[in-house]
This record gives sequence, C-alpha cells and structure tokens, in this order.
Amino acid sequence: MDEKDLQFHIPIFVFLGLIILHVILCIIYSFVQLIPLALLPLSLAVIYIIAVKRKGWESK
Amino acid sequence: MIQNIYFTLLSVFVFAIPLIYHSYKFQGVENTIILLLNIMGIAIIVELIGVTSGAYIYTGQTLILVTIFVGIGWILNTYPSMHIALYLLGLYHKENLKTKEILIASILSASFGVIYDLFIDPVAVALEIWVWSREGPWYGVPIFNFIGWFFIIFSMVFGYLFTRTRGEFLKDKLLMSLVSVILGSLFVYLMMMLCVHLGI
Repeated sequence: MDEKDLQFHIPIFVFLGLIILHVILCIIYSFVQLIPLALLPLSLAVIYIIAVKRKGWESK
Repeated sequence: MIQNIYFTLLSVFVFAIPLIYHSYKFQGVENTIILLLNIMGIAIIVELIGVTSGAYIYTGQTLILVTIFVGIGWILNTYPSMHIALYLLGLYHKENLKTKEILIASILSASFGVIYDLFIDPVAVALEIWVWSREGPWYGVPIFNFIGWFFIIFSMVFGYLFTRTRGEFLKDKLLMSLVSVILGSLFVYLMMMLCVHLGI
C-alpha cells in the first residue's frame, strides 16, 4: 500500500482512533460494561478492511 | 467525569483536521466547502433546537461553545460513515451519481452513523458530556436520539452528494447548500416532531 492509498483511508484511521479514545476513557473512568459496545462500530471497520483487501486481491 | 470542556473541544478539533484534509485532497476545495456547509449548517440548527427545547444539555457549555462543538463534532461521525458507505457501494470515484445512488448512499451512511452512535452516546452520557432530560432504554440514551441521528446524517449526506453532483459552479453549489441546509433541518425537525407525537 503506497502513501496515496494510506491517505485515502484516513477516515477509517480517524474512525478507529475515535473508538480507541472512547475505550480508553471507559477504562480510565471504570465504565468497563460499555466496552463491548465498541464491537458495533468495530464491525464496520472490519467490513471496510475486508473490502479494501478484496479490492487489492482483485487488482492483482 | 470529563468537566474540562477545552479537552473535549481540543479532541474534536484534532480528529476533524485529518478529515477536512482528506476531503480537500480527494474532493477539492469547492466540495470541501459545501461539505462543511452542509454538515455544520444542519448540525448547528438541529442541535440548537435540541438544546433550547430542553431535551438534553451539554454539561458546563455555553451556547457559543455548543455551536463550535457540534459544528465540528458532526464531521467526526458523518464523514467516516459516508466514506465507508461510498467505498462499499463502489461509488467513491463516480462523478455523476444518480439520485437513486445518492439515496442509497445516504441511507447506508446514516445507518453506519447510528451503529457508531450506539457505542459513542452511552459513553458520552456516562462521562456526562451531555445529559438527557429523560433516561432511555439504551444505557440511558433515549431511542429518539438514534432516530434523530439517522435523519440528521441522512440529510447531511444527501444534501452534500446532491449538491456535489448537480451543482456546476461554486455559486450554484453554495446556493444549493443553503437550500439543502434549510430543507434538511426542517426535515429532521418534522421527523423528530413525529417521534414526539408517536411517543417514541
């Protein structure tokens, strides 16, 4: 993956960063019961990554 | 709890900057301007109605800080949701989107935005960044919040994609953005009134 590809995927990095920030806040403030909810947006990120990988395989 | 408003505002700015840069890099200056107009315009109008109606409050924030916070903050959930939706639909690089494609992309973006909020909102409520006037079933968050999120993101994305595709010159795009902000806000307001009427 070159630099332009990485730049194209900036929104998903920000998306993941926001999820991680909220998970960290849950740990700091002891709201551990909320952490499993992070799986909901993370599943979207996983679907996106699979789509990126599939596109990469198709182009080869 | 997070009482430092400036920490919240700073983190919103830090995450928004790469997204604005991304839009500038891949969509150009004109489209970035109309993106910001559509998102910030609808966000500020709808949130100010929400705050002044007493449905929720942003802890320790003045009306000016709320305006800055929501204006920038809505970029963080709308833009990545729209990016994922356009990418999965294979429409990212398509210039002339058909109305049906814009509609599908808007519905998908709004659905992704709601999925994201199912995690973010309970955390924000637990941290007392904002407080709901009546407690809801989803970790204290009322259901109409998620319905609201759906219609807000739908209006923003539909307005942006429609303006981007149909507007020819910047002047047209700005005028269309203004109309789409007014219509989008009105649409969200009517949908929320319907929710109140139905007792959701």
